[in-house]
Amino acid sequence: MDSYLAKPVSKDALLALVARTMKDRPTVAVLPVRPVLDAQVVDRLEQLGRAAGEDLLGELATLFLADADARVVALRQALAADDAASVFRSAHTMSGASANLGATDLARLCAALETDSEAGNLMGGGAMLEAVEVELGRVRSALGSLIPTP
Amino acid sequence: MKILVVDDESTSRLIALMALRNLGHESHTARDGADAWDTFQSLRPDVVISDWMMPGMTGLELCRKIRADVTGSYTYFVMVTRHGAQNQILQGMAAGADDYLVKPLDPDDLQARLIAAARVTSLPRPMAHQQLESEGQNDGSVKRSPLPAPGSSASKDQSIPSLDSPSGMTRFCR
Repeated sequence: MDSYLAKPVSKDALLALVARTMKDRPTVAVLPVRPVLDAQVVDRLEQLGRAAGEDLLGELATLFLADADARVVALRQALAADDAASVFRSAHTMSGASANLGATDLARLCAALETDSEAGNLMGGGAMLEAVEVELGRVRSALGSLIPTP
Repeated sequence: MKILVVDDESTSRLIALMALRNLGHESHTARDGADAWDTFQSLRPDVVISDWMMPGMTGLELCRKIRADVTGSYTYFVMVTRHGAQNQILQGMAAGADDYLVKPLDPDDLQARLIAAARVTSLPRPMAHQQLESEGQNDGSVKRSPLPAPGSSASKDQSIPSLDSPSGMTRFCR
């Protein structure tokens, strides 16, 4: 227990306790949050689509998300089976697709998994896949706005 | 030009197709090396742009198969590798690739490669044969088709004199 409040709890006592608690906490540096998608890549794809008169970004987002779910399942199964070759193949494909859409952090995480599995090292594979899934969630949210609603 | 894009990953195929369409080329796709080899034989593209890493036949194997087949006109082969894979670039070029691109695909880089491709594929086939022979890549085991006689109707461009004629060499060395 770090502190206590006596009943009946008054508003002032509660606020004072919160203030004291926050004051004692170590200062946490707030890092700037990097955009999920590289603006330069998105801009280039937008230009490419515009020149062709098509919604390239929307089509790419749809394709990417449909494939990504299957890749994550394949990665999970390959890791469970200790199948480094299959992990390598799926991580390689997902890394390339992520880079195509400017999902730089996701591409980097997949590339790390690709490098480790190519060397036959699946020790940290589970944790890396968890990180991939977290980042994929961020990418999914960012891409969601690019997919046209039917 | 007639261009075949080979990649097992859907977003890469779509980006390449869109870029090629914007540049006014006739483009076709294949999802793996085996599919690409079948398409290559029926389509006879001017350019093949192939990913390296594919299930089944890799881009490297596809490149070797295409180089071993000297029938028809010369096909310009561009190998696509991941960023930083220098060893793949070297192996690809040694196997007969004419150039390379790295992923993610940059449309300007693609256009630059295709300018060179248009220049090379417009040359008469004998030059490509001579180059292969000088590089020692044809050991005689590959099936050779008779070359069209210079100026014959089978020649790809009758206005260009063959390099085995004095006027052709003069044109080439100028």
